[in-house]
Amino acid sequence: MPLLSVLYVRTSLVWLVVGATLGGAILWSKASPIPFAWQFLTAHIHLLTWGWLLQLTLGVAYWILPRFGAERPRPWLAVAAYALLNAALAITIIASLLPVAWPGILVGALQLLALFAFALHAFPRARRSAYGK
Amino acid sequence: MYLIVGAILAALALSNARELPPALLAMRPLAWHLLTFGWATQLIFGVAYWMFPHLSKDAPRGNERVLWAAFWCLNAGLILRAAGEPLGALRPGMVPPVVLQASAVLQVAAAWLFAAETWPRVKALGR
Repeated sequence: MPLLSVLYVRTSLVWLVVGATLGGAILWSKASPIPFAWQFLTAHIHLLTWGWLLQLTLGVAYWILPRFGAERPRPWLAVAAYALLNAALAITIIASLLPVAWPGILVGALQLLALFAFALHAFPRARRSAYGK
Repeated sequence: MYLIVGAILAALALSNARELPPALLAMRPLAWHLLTFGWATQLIFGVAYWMFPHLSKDAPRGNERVLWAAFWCLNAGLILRAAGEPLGALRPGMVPPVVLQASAVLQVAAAWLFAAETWPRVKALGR
């Protein structure tokens, strides 16, 4: 597994733990209220969908999609996607903790850029491999 | 199973085609969690257990008891959620609080157990 995939997958495990713990607090709160639990609903959803499910998928895709010889083309795009995706998640958590309006446009723009960057990286790799003929 | 049940529930409960009965509206959170946790996350747990780099020759996939515990926690937690969450939303006070509390603890435990056991298997080549 390349180092960048290690980074992606380990970060996704961290978000799984944080997101599930927030979700557990919200579910517990339905039985006996926990103060402030519901203010983390957006963070819970973003951490588990973007931070866990999507990020793990991107990390594994970076690892196993067909390569060009030993090289993965334009790895800086996948690095940029990692940075943008996690910046959006960090902003999501900070916004949940502060009494500020939900920065949806900023978070959405960062997530969109992350997806474009990763798609540009992965597009030429999504092809028939030399072994698949 | 979770994919099929979750997809059917989601199709019914998330449809805005007409006014939905309260029983279906109460199933919305469950539909999401059956799909994201019961299907997608559990599928990832299973595939990661299968194909992530091996730890060692003696215990290639780490401590399998811990991973079995994660499996049972995830499924027991989701089943308790399915039993308690919609009913609790429809008839507050009818479901004992311990049902949802146990469901929450079990689902969180599944995530922690899987993450802790998988962490050392996520490693660069040759390490």
